Amino acid sequence: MIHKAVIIRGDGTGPDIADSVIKIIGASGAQIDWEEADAGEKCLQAGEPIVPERTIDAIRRIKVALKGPISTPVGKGSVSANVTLRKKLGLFACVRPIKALPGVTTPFSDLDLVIFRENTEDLYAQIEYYCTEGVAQSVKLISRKGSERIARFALDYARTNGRKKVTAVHKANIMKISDGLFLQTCREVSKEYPDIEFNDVIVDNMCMQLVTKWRLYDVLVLPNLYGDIISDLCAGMMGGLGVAPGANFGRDAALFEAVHGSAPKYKGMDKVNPTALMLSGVLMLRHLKEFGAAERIEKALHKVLSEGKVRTYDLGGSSKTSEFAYAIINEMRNGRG
Amino acid sequence: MKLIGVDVYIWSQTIPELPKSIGQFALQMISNSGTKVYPPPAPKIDVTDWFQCRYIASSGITHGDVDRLLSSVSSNFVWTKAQKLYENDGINAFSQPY
Repeated sequence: MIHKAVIIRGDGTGPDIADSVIKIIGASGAQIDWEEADAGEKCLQAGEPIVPERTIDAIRRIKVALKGPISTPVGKGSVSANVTLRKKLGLFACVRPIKALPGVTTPFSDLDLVIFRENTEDLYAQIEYYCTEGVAQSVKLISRKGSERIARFALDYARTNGRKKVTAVHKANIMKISDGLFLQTCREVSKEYPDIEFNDVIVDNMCMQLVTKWRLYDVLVLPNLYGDIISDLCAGMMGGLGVAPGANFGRDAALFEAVHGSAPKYKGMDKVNPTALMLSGVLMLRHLKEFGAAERIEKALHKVLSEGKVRTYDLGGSSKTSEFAYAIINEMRNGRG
Repeated sequence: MKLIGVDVYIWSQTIPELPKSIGQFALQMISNSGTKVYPPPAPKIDVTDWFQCRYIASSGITHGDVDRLLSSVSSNFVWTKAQKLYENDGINAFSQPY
């Protein structure tokens, strides 16, 4: 079956890694009819919004997209392309699988977590004011509807993927009303899933627990800001942002993305690790029910990483992006992947 | 800081159909959870029952003008919070929705 998907190559090193990942997916047996869409620096340079409406429309129409990293310009009036996409497409769930990879050195052996970050509310609503000349305020917006939606998404995932436990992460001991609403809603929703163990942990304690007792945790569900921070902490635990995949889900569309930056200093140098976008592509293939192709890529990646002969600079090697990609493609073609 | 408008937060199940202008104020936008839903096009997203409705003045206003705007809004809508909007050296001292 041929699937349609939008590809946003992104800024900086994005085109290099997107090119490699498209080739890898093509060699996996999955048939994807890619539709190119723009976002990021080139749109701004053309006097357009950082994410043009035609890109939003394309993702809404096709329902699936893979996106390379996009730079967020620093300065007054600039907006994040990633946040724009999440908000305008209603991508309420950010999902980050955190799993130790063979051949990627980490002190956190057996690491295997899935993080569900609420993607549209909390301080990320970005409602801010100067109330007086010396006092600024941000609105921490938490709704029952938003909390219920992400809690249900996490618990449904746990149930359908054989996960045993969901942990809500919060700071309801201090923010008793906003985080309290999130926690209370998660608890209420969890009662509909008696087959899944549910507990909650305060976010600062969670940070300590993750680096000392990570094996106690399975699926985490968090409000937006804590989710942002904890998911990068966990990406570091699995070996860095260069190997951490991400996916964003809404009711009508799904966007799969590398969570690292665009590394503009390496632009066009064929240098950076494409693993994060590749694993995001694997998540996309599973979403499209191309389980065989997803498995082939993952097995080939594990093989290449385990052998350690072809590695990009971030993993201690000197291979180029394209060389790493060809090693994975060769592994699949040799029938060993 | 110079007073230039007000954000009125309305409790409503749907996008509130507020007057486009009240006195010197014009309705600039309505957002929900930081995402603009008015003027159209509104993105196809789930919304909460709390809408941020921004009125900006076309000329100099006083705090009394904001009080009168709130009083006018109260006649047909339930507002739960209001935040005066300022400009500092010509720069907005408040955020814009996506």
